[in-house]
Amino acid sequence: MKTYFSILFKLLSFILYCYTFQSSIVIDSCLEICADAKCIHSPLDSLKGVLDEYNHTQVLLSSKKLDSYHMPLPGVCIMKTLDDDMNFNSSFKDHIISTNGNGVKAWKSIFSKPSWRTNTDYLSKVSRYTDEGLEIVEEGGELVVKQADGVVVGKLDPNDVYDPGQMKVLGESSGRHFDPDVAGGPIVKKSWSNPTINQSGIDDVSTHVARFTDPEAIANNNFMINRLDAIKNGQRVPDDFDKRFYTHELEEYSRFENLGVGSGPHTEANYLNSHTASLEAYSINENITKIYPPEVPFPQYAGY
Amino acid sequence: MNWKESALFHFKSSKVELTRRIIEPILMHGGTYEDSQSRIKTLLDEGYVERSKKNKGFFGLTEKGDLYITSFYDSVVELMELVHSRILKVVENKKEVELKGGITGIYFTYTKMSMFRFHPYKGMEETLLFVRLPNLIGESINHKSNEIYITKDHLDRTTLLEDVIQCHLKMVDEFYGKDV
Repeated sequence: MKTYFSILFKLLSFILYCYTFQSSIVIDSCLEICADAKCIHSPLDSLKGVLDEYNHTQVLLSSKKLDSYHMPLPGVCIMKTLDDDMNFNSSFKDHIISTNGNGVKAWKSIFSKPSWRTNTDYLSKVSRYTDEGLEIVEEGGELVVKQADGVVVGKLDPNDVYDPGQMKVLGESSGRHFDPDVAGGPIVKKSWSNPTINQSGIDDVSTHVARFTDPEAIANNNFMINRLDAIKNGQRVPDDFDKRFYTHELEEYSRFENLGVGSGPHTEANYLNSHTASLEAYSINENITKIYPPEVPFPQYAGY
Repeated sequence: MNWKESALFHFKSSKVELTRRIIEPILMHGGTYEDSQSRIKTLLDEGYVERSKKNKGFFGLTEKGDLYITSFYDSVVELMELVHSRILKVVENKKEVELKGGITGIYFTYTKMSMFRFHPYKGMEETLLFVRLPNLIGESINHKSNEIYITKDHLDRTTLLEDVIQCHLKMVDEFYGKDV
């Protein structure tokens, strides 16, 4: 009974302390409390060694989360979970130790997905996203990716069949997988409904699409550029396909330029990320709203 | 052509490995991004297509895929070569016409705004020529209104192809006032 009261007193003192001072000492104190409360079943020394490696990270420092993380109930202690994950997976353990805190942050941000959080490739990608200012928050069981300005980019999803094993973002509007941190800039939401189609813009579109040299793409793009020329010359009233094509290609071109591939060779990833980010900027889902009209020379290359 | 035939045909006709940018819309085939994802998985799982060993993100036809599509592909080559030579004869005196494309489709524009298209089409029992003529009737969205399908047998026995093109060229002349 005396021991029980001792542990309870220490626990209450610690929580009070945490609400008062949020500092690195919390880690040691927390370890002590958890150890006393038999929250950690694995050797304390190994866990402490790891904690030293990630050097005062915020994993355990949020006093508001102490209640949920560190109450003396077996299995609810986040430190124990981290310790278990490391004991279970040596490459994960190596990753956590070598990344000096960043790995733990990434691990914490995808904590709710047990099958993802020990995958070191996923952790590296998530770290990359957060380093670039993207925020990952759990909403309705999904891990939603947001920009600093609050724009929802999409949700984390590792199931791109074309690129297996890669953690990516499934775009909020486009429904396509991409890496928003290498898409030529943040998503700025715009409307395609009323563009000013002028010679300068048509020149940029022409420059951009000239990089796609398969004959069917050339035919489809030339078809659309002819329509833009006719619009500029007052011979045609733009329809929604013209507007979407024009705004989409200009946005994509701008992203290619930001990626340093405005001219010259580009990678498939340059295209896929820029294309999807451009769809996101104009809130277009190609399943519903096409960029190219069905009367292009090769409609099957436009998804028809 | 169903989505599988369409995709394998494009692999075969391109003669090089294809990137996702090209194959993805072909696999959508009037469907969705998700359809494209499940269809590439099917082609990979069933061994018709494989990931490139040399180029990440590229896909190529396997021996099984090649075997599956070769018969149709050969019939298309035969048909489109015939069609190309016959269209060429019709338009050879029209300097403004430039015939473009290949076995996936042949096309030319007559006036900037009117396009003639000729594609291979897989019918129930044989390979057909699908002709998409300029729409001079109404809104472009009514693109179904000027489609015709011709069998190779009918092409061989008649001058239907030439007649249809000539007739439509004349209609375009009248419609646009010979402003070509």
